[in-house]
Amino acid sequence: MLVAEGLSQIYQGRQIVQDFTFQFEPGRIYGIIGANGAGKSTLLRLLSAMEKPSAGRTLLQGKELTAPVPEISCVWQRPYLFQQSVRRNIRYGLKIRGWPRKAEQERVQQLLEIFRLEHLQDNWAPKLSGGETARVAIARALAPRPKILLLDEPTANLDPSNTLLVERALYEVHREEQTTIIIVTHDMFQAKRLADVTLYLSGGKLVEYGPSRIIFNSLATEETRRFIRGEL
Amino acid sequence: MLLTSLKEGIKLILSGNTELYLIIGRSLFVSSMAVLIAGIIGIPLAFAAGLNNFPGKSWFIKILYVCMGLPPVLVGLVVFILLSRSGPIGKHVYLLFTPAAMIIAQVILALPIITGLIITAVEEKAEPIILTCRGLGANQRQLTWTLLGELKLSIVTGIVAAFGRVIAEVGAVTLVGGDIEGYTRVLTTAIVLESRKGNFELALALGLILLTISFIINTALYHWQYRR
Amino acid sequence: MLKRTKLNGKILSLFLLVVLGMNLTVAGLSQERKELVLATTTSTRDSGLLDHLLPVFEAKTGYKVKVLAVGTGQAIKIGEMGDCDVILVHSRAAEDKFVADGYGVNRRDVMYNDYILVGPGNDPARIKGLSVKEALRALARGKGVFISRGDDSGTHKKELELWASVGIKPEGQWYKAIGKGMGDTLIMANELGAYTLTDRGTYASMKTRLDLEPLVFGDEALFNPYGVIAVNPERHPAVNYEGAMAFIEFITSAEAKEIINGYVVNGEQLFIAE
Repeated sequence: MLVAEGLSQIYQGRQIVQDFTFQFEPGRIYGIIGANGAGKSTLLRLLSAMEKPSAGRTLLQGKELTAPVPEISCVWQRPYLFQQSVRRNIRYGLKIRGWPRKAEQERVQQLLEIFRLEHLQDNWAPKLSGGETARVAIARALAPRPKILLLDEPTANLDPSNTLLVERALYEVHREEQTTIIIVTHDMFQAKRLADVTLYLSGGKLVEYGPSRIIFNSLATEETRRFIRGEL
Repeated sequence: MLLTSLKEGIKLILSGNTELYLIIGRSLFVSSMAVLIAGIIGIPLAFAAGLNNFPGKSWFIKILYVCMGLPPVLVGLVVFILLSRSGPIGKHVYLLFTPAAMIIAQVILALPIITGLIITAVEEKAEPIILTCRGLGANQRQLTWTLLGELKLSIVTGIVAAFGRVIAEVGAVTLVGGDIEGYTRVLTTAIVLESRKGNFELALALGLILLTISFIINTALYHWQYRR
Repeated sequence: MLKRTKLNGKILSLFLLVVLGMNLTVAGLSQERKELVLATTTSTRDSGLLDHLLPVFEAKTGYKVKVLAVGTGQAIKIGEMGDCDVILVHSRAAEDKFVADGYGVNRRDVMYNDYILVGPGNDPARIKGLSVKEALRALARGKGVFISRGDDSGTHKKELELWASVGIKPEGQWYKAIGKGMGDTLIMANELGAYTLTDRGTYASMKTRLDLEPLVFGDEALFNPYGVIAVNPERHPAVNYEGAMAFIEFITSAEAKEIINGYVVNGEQLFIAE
């Protein structure tokens, strides 16, 4: 279980994230939505302990996080792929964890299949298209079977078919491995399709949250309703 | 004359002239040692400076860029004065007019080039790499290795640029090496000597050998870079 | 990861090989022999004279001579800083100052080379066989063309000194300062059928390509004397004073004189021992 307690972040006097408290239950998918500048990306970096919060803390299984841990994998906005083949990119997390060769090969093969990357496995990763890059980055993050996967706008700028492919693959892995997934997106429909629970962030604050099935139909605040209607 | 010297150069290389091979070897030795030492200092320095913020960093980088174009003669002169029997270092260790003195001068020329080129690459490219590695569970050591691997092209480019500069410079090695036959004479000082004696064909031939060395090294880099 | 390690290994082993090989070479070259550092002018080395003198000295004394061939000024400076053991240069005034200031001891005259006035065979200014002063006055009458290097080199300074000694300011149609090296100046004089002042060494090495003839020479005003000076061991205790004295003794010996006087390039004797 990942717990955020009063997480806050201030950059140059500007409050980016304010007093964020939440419990992420294991094995579920969370969608974090909100307008640009709502503090979604910063929140993700705080949750993964990439950044030190100005106040509050993050706990993983009751232990405070002070630095990134192997149990949490992250995929950042505009992911960076290593200057290697697709296969070696996906292998990266296994390599550094010292997986045995055979298990490593099987796992990479499995992810290549799930993310429809088999035909690209020997390609030079930096030359891939946007959709392919996103798929490789997510497969790479999932490879070491992390307990928690954090995704920052994984399908921004992707065409609908790639978006669908990514969502299906994510869901497949989640179903098989009970990975907790926290996905930041500005696309509320993606949250609706994918997430068990959706959180709405505004001005760095958690405005409301609830099961995705319900929240989109019974919004508590006028602001959330306006966002959903596309007015924000 | 260029054609004759081309022929002359090929003849010279094939002639088995030992002194020529020694001069070529000495050039390669002095310059590669200088670049090796500059790399050992410069690569960690570039990473440390590029990845961290410290007061005066922008000045450090500005000065570094200026030093990338240090006049070799000036460096030679300063090293000469430092290494002279009358200088602060020469009193204790006497290295003037030895290959070691030439290496020292060339390290000073190579260091800002290696550091400057790599620091630029680190500043430009390191952040997403670090974020990615840490987001995949890499520890500090693994992160460092990955970073070195991802930036290896910039590192090699820096090293090759520095090597190209030092092996072709004559001002510093003449001053601190003294162009002593059989001891500190290298390709560039030999070219100066032969030109002054009016042996333009021979001087050009030596110049062609120097060019060939640079060409081989740059071609190797190019092929390595575009292997994929 | 694997591939990179392999590549690094290759580069590393290549490097080690180079380093090792070169170290052996360098070590082989600087094997334990007592060294003597001689700072001298480029003219003595480039003329090839040292190639005849030094092996004899080295064989006799067992010293290994390292030659620094630089400008006269720089050679003297290196001596002042104590970075050579002995200097062999040609600038009497600077040499005397070097000794007077306590940097050098035991100055000896070694040899001189000389400048010559060369010109076309038909000699329109009629200077052949005249003394230098008479020849310069004759040239100033403008019956021929005189080409000056005009490059502030030693030879150019010498030429200006000579003009000053006869009180003539060289200017006019007959005087051309070109700002070029000795070789280019000789070639230009040759093309124009003009006169010029040259050192004997350069003239000798290019003689076969020139129609110019030596017209005025042997006058003491044209001599360019070389002196040898040991660096003062009291000022710089680390210098090889013993070796320097051995060198001075050798280069002023009858044997060395014979080698100096016998050194001929294209039929011209370049240096005359004192």
